Amino acid sequence: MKNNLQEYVIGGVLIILLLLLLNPFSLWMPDTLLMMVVAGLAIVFALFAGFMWREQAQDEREELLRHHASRMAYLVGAGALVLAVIVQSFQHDIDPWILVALGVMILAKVFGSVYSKSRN
Amino acid sequence: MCYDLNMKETVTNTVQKLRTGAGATQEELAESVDVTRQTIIAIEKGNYVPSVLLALKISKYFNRPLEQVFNIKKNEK
Repeated sequence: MKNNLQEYVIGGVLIILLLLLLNPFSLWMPDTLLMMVVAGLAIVFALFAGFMWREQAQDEREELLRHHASRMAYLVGAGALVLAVIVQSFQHDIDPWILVALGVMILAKVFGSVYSKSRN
Repeated sequence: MCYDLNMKETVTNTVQKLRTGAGATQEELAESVDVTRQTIIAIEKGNYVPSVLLALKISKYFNRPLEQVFNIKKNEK
């Protein structure tokens, strides 16, 4: 439970940093502040990734629930990127990094499937 | 063997009946078979089908054959 709370707090901090990076109310006049937040984002994301990596299910049912949650998270993430591509295509201005991110997610899933099948 | 597409199979169990008969709590059973209490609750309610390993551990806990603890039930869709 304690590990989950830490994960939720770090996830919340990550979301706040991402929202700040959207530059609400033109916050980012001083570049140094922007750089500090970007550095903070990288550090907090590393912590978040560390927690996710160290996650250990207590039993088989928890493992199954985590598996379902991971699949849902992956599909929602990929869906958000696809939606971004669709919206930007109507504006005739697709950010290449969105395409890269979507491509990396798809390749990661494919390689993950091939690897797990090769092990069985 | 014919497979009837209209039949849906589920796994039923007598875990709760055996546990209460043995005078054990869910926590005690969970600790003995190395799972969480929530997993025992889910098994007893029929919301979770345990793996073969877990099913064998539970049967061994009650000192009963597997078929007396877990069973396949055919339901019409």
